[in-house]
Amino acid sequence: MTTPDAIEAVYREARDRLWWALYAYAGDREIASDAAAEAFARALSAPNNIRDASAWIWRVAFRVAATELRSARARPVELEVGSEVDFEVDFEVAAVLAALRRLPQQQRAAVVLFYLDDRPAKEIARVMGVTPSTVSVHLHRARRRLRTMLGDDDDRS
Amino acid sequence: MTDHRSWIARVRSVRPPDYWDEAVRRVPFAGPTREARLGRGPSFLLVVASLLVVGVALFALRGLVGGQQRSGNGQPADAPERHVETDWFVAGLPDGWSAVVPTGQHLGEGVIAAQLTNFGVEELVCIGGGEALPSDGVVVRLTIGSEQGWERSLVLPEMDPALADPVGPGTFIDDCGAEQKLFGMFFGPDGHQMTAHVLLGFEATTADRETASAIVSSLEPTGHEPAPEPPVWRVFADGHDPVIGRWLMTFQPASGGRDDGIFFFSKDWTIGIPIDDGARNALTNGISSGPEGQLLVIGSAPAEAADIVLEVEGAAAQKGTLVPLPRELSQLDLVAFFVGPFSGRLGVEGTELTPNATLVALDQGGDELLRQRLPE
Repeated sequence: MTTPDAIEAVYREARDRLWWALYAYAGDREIASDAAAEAFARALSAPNNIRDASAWIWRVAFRVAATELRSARARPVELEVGSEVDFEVDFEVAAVLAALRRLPQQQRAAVVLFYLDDRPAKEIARVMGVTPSTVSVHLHRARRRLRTMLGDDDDRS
Repeated sequence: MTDHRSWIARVRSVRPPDYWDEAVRRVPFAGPTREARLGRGPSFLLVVASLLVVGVALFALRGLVGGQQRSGNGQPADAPERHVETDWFVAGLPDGWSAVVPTGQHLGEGVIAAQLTNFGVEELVCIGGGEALPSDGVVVRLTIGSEQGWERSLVLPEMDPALADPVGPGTFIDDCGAEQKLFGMFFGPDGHQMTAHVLLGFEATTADRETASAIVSSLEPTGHEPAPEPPVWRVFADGHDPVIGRWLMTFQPASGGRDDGIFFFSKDWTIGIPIDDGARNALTNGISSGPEGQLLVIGSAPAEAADIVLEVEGAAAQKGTLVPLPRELSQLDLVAFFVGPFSGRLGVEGTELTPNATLVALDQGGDELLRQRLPE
């Protein structure tokens, strides 16, 4: 079972990677920060019930972010180059986020976890709650769409 | 922007905040309290999804289903309608079910929905679904009249679905201790969002039926985040394959930014594929590994397809089983199919397949409509 120290160790190891992934997934700093903090808070509130702290925290964080994105749909924000939505990001980051945001949620999650966190499809499937083959389909489609939107000629598979 | 490294680098150029202190500050409010703060309750939709899994398990357990399918020659087979719908429950049910009575009850922070229905002539079946996280302790208690039927803790430590096979639902069957009683625990196909269910079939008298109106169940502590937008699955076909066994195909409408999806369930395989407008003129597919390295392919093809043939290097060609996707579910005018199993190995995260394999869609006249190498 997990201890608070182990959870803190996960934080030290994954702090930035988790936040970046959530940021790319949500396209919103606040949602990323909130989801990440909430996941660790939940882990800290019941560490004895968690077997694999890292996996648990990633799953919960993405779930929280997905929920907050649903809530945010009531006030949709189309992040575009030059948008004032997030003045702290530069134009190119905004372009990337805008492209990612145009992907369906599942495709976005798959591509973010695959590229930003270097996770294999099997692990992504666990985070997303789908089969590895479904992840592969999502990745394939996401790549195709990103290629169109960003001129990405990546072929990593 | 010329490659993926470029956009990754741009995202990583944003400096993450230090959110540890915020996490620690939230500890007293994490979990259920936060649920309340956000004004969200447990999701009935998750229960709907879980009930479907129960339906799938029923097929496997009771062996009472036939199939609405067409195979080989592409002609629909005559089959009775076995899909039962209520306002919130949609699932394929076996023959012999004459009633579906939703009796959802909220208890504690969790949620449980239960149904009682006739199952054949002498049996009642109750199906319950609830939600819990892997670490939750779940107790399900059945009460018949005023007498407690049984009580059982559903989640055992070794069943932590964080470690479970994410591909398919786990099924655990236990004898309740009395004759002709079956007890099933079914874990949702999402692997990490533990879904606990209860299935019970028992001999029942008329009096039993009158009194067996309460299922008292509790889930505790739960109240954690439910899975994002749990799907409502529509069963559009089921059947029995001599090799695969009983199977079920469902349709999941688009939601939350997701495309429509087709899912295939059997004892050894759970495969889902998204479908969108691009599927109108294409062969979409998903491949999944089953026992002993056997692979199964599911997919969709344009409605003109009358046959799907899987050509595997070094093996005999196999014909697939085709099922029209009902127009009330999708306007894409597609047929869903599965074909296999066949021996092979998926590599490089499911994007490479050994040996080479190709799907071919043929029209009624046997002319080739589409050809696609797997797994693309």
